Amino acid sequence: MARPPCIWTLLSSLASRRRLLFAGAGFVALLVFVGEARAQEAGTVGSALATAPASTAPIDRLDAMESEHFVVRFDLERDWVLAEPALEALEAGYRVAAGWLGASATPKVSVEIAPTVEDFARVSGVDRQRIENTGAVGAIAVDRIIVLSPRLLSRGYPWRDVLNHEYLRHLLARRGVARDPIWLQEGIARYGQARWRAQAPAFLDEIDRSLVARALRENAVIPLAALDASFVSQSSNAAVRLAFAESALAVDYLIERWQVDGLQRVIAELAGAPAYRGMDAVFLAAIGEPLARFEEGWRGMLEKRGYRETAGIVAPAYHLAGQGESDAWELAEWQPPAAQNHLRLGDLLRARGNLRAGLMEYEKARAVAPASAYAHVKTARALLELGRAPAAAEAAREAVRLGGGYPAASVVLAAALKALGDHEGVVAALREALELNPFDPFAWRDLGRALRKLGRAQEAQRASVTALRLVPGNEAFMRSVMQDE
Amino acid sequence: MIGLGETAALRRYLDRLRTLLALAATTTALFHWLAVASVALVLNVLVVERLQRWPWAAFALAAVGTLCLAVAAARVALAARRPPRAVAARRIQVVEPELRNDVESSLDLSPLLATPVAGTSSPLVGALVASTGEHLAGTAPRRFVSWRAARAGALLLAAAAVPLAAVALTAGVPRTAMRALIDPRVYWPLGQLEITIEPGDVRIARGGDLLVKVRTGGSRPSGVLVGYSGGPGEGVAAMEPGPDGVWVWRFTAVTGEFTYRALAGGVSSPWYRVRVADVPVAGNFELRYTFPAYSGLAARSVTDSAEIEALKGTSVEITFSTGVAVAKAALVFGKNRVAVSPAGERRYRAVLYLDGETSYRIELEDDGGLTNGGGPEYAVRYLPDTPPSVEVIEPTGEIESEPRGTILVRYRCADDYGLSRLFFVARSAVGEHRWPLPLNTGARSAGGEYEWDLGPLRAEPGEIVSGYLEAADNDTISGPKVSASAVIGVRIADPRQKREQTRESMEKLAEELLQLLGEELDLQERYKELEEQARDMEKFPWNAAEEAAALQKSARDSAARAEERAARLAESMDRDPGARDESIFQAEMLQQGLAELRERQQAPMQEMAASLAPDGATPEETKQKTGFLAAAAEQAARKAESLALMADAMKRERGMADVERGSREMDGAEERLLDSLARLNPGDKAAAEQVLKQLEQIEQALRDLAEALQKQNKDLPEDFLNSDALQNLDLNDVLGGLEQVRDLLKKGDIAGARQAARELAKQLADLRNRLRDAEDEVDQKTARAFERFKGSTVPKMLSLADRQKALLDRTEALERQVGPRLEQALRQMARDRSTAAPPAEADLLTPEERGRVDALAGEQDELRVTAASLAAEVATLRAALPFLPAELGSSLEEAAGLMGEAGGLLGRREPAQAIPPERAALAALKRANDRAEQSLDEMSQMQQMRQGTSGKPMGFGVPSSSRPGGSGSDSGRSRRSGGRRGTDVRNFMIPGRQDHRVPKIFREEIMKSLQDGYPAPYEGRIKDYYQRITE
Repeated sequence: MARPPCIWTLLSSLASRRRLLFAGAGFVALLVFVGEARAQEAGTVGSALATAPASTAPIDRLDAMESEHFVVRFDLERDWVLAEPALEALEAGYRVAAGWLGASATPKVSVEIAPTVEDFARVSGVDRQRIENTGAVGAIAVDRIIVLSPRLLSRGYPWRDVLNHEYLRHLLARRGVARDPIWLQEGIARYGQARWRAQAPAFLDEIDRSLVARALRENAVIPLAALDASFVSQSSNAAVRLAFAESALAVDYLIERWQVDGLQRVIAELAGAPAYRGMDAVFLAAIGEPLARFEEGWRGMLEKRGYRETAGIVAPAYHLAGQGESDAWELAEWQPPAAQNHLRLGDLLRARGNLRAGLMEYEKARAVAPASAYAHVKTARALLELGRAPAAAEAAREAVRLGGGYPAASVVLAAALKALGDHEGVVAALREALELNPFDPFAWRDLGRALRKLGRAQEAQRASVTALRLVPGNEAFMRSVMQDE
Repeated sequence: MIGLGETAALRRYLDRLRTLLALAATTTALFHWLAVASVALVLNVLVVERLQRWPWAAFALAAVGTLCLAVAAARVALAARRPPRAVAARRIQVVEPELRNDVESSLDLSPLLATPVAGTSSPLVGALVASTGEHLAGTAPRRFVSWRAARAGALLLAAAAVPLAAVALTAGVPRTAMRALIDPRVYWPLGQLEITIEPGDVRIARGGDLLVKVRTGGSRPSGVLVGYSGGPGEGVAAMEPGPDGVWVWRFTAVTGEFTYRALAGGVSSPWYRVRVADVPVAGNFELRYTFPAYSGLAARSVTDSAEIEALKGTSVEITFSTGVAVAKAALVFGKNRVAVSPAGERRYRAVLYLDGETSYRIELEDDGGLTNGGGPEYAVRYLPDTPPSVEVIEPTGEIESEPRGTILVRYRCADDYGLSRLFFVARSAVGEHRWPLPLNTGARSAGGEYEWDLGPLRAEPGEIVSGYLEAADNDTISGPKVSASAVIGVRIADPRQKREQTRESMEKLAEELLQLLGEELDLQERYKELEEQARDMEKFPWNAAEEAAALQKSARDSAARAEERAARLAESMDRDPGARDESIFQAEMLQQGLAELRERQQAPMQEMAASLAPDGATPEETKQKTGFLAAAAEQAARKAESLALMADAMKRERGMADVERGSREMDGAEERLLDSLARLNPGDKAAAEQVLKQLEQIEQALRDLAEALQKQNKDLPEDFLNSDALQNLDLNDVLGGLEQVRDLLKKGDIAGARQAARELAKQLADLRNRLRDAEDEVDQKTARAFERFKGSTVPKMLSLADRQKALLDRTEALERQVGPRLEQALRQMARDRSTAAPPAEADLLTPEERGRVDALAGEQDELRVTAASLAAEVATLRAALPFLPAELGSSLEEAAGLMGEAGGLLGRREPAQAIPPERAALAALKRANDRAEQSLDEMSQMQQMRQGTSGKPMGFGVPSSSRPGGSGSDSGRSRRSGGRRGTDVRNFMIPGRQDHRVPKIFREEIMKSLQDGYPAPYEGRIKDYYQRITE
């Protein structure tokens, strides 16, 4: 597919060989191509697109923290909680990527955590609307990775996966693969973004799987050749998610059939070619199959996977924090309207202490909208308050499964598991919640408590200190952090 | 000498006593005289005067009377003389017996003192006289006078005076009777008789009466006769005696000439001639009215009537004719005599100006002096020109409003001849304001609506201001008559307090509805459990059933309380002109919904729960009852959910209304501020004060708005709060700008203040625009939902019902073919005592019928999917349209379920069994459609009310689009003119499943065939078959 040249991709490939040329050329190129680049590239939550920054100037006022291979620049006052976990995830990702992708970055990669939407927009060219429409929260530039602070999204996002996603793209760019096809870059990044924390993590969640299943049912699977356009057009959050899922599955298919070597050969073919020759030639050279045959096999794999469509499941949009009440947003957009009335009544009844009646309304909402993570969370909370922890845990698990990155679901799951005495489960659930929103002091506090119960005093202390630092000067909270329930 | 002085004193004493004694006697005699005179006079009047036939007896009686009177008079004369001293002395001695004869002795012996006589002792006489004088000195002479006789005389006089007074007052006392008291000769029967006759020769009107009077002189005749000759014939008649000795006779209805005379005691008068002539009479009247100009009435003529009927100020030209030539004619109109002018031969004309006199007459006199006797009175009746009628139709009585509220006054007024002016007059503590209302020149009626703006009255909370309509008519003759309508009293409420009260009421209502919902949900769960437990009667928890029944009662009480509160809320808002019409409507909808819940769901449930008792309960009954209760409880819970959501929506809409009000109050504020600032000159303190006041008003409006947006934002819809337009909205910026203007003004920097005010104006305009945009977002969402409901959902529902009906018809047609075959086969097998398995309906279908039933099954399934999808659609729409009833969705769901059941049976090729669920599905669809129609109507009403309110439409409970062709829509009618419209569901029973069963008579007929007696293996099968088709 013909695609306008991405100057940042070109520059970044040049930079890997001739660093000295990089800065000057980049500046000139920026002046020439910035408009085009702005229109073409953006990152998305959990799977950032290559991004052309609107400005080469780094974000001011940021403090820095370094590890062996990364320098994380962040707002000390507001985003201090991100620095260490970011470095931890990036270093882990560095090691893992070096293993399976056979690539690593040198020298140190600069990572900027944009403390404001305006800063992010200035350096990435991604404005508010695009963030909310497509979830573009990460970008790469020359030798920098830029992500939006999860503090700025109302529900947070899996920001450490995104960091690694951007790192993988950064690596590909360094290898000279930051050109066509986009789907391959994004597929690799998506496929590998969570490997820093697990050996073989599920790279698709329930929403992605459902989207793929629906596309198969409706015969609306986007051909690989057309995927790039899907990334670029970014018509809707669901469309972008489907494009990412398909890309990741294509990479998965590639690795499944030709192992990582096959992938590496493809990357090498792309990197080694003086100009982009089309994927047919690349695939023929690397894996001995033309794109069409590869795609045929990939489609066959999709069918065989047997993903099931979850009726009514919604790909949640992303909302910047501070714009209305997040609860109201969740109610408004996550729920089929038919469930909204039941949820509202449930809330009203529950707020008045009528838990049983409130639960009945939540159950009705669940019956109307079984794919609504929000309804499951509400139900789980009511069940917990009624002392029905097993049922609460079940509902919360369903919420986590369907939520697609919904911290409240993990938090309520943790509460249910705590009631059941499953402290390991509590830790896992809270860590999952904190992966999305590390600014939740209560999650940190509860994590500390759970870790203490497990005898992991050092980790517990770190979690508790984080909780206290997030809510400084609040004596009652401090006491609650220190006390075990 | 001793005793001389005492003697003189004694004599003086006795002289005084003599005088007193004479006075008493005279008085007594006088009373007697008067009594005699009275009696004599009465006898003269009553007896003597009437003894015409016995004149001597009369004279004798009168003479006796005169004699008695003379005697009585003589007694008076005698009594008037003083008695001698000796009499007086004796009188003393009678009264004072202890004096024995001392007084007489003293009197007799006293001369001896002056001229002593030998043998008598002068000193002794002197001592007697002195002793007597001394004794009398302590007693007044009057003590010795008796008035008893005088009092008796007075009583006698009184007794005689009573008949005299009666006679005098009734018949009168003839002079002759009085004269006869002195001179009885007035009744002397002998002497020369003289006759005087009236009227003598005379000319009278034809047909009139002639009264002849005769007086006699000289001797008194015993009778007088009148003799006549001429037109009436010839004869003599006895005249009637009249008072004062006058004899009278009346010739009646004289039509011809004749002569007459009087005859008495052999004496006769000369003949007198009576001539007869026609009386001049006015007739053939023609009246021409010229009405006053203001009346707008055209001139008109009336003939054949002399009576006038017209408005005051009308000129009437009266033209009349006379039967004979007249010498004089005059029209007498009250005290005025109006000249009459000739208008032809024996025709005359006069012009009257009606100024209040109530009658007129026409005096005529012919050449011979014969008059029409003044002529008859002709009535002048005045047409009433009533004052205008002015009526305030709405509001009535005392209402409440905010100080700056507006009140819609609906009025009408009318006048019989036209209105000249019409005002709305309002009074407050500040003074009176009059606003002219539109009026067409000369209009006889006017009416309409007037938005009474209370703002100019500057009334304070707690004050009662009044307003009324004043109308004047166009009467230029008597002056315009002014009428006023009934007074509208408006209690100025504290708007914040009022809003707070309404808010609190809504909160409480919402709370009560949530409590009700909680109870209904609890019941739903309990009855569901009971239904499940009813499978095992041994373990059936009767206690739990009792508890559920108690809870049910509590829920019913909660519903009643909430219904009452909703009614009170609606009533309170109805009295408050500041309240929104749609809020009132919504409160009424809630009230009605609660009534419906109580009557439709709770009442049958209570009845059924009461019958759920362990005594004699069979498992089947218990199962059925608990099943019914579980289903009813589910319905009740749905209804309660719907009501709770409606209350919640109403609350939120009220929140939006507060925002709207805040926004509206700022409307135009900046223009006014800029104008005031533009006119402000340095040193103009009054103008500066005015500007500061405007700033205060803006600040207050901003604070109200901030309160509406922040404090109560839990009542605002999420879409509004989360609107992009309201992002980063900070009212403090505007308040800061306002403060800046104020500071600059206080510093006297007018130019700076103007500049700052321009900035402030921009901020205010921006604020309003943002609020409006946010409101638009909410409106659009609701409008879209309503449009979808109206334009898509409802038509699809109607179409679905049509299709279901068609499918049912086709199924029934098929069954009419197959059913008899099955029945026949079963009967045949029964007769044959066949032991083979009874045939199923599917076994008897022909290939063509199988094709048809398969097609029906497929179609039924399609309809089921459509129904389910519509139920989901309705549930979706209810999120945006909370006033969409829950029953709509439940009916569709019920229909979908029944369609599924029917589809399954059709799939098994059992059309007979599919018919009942198909019918029930159709009934459910019809119920849903009825409810949808009603909802459309109600929501359209709410929309109309909203459009009727000032300001831009806002809100989410009510759509902002119209529903063309909606049933029963009436755009000209508002909530306050007569309450909500739409179907009254209390009186409208939506048919239930039972209503679609085969009529009883047919069921009985079919069931009777069961009595034929079939072999046992068939009995169940056949029974099942018949029951199915008769259900």
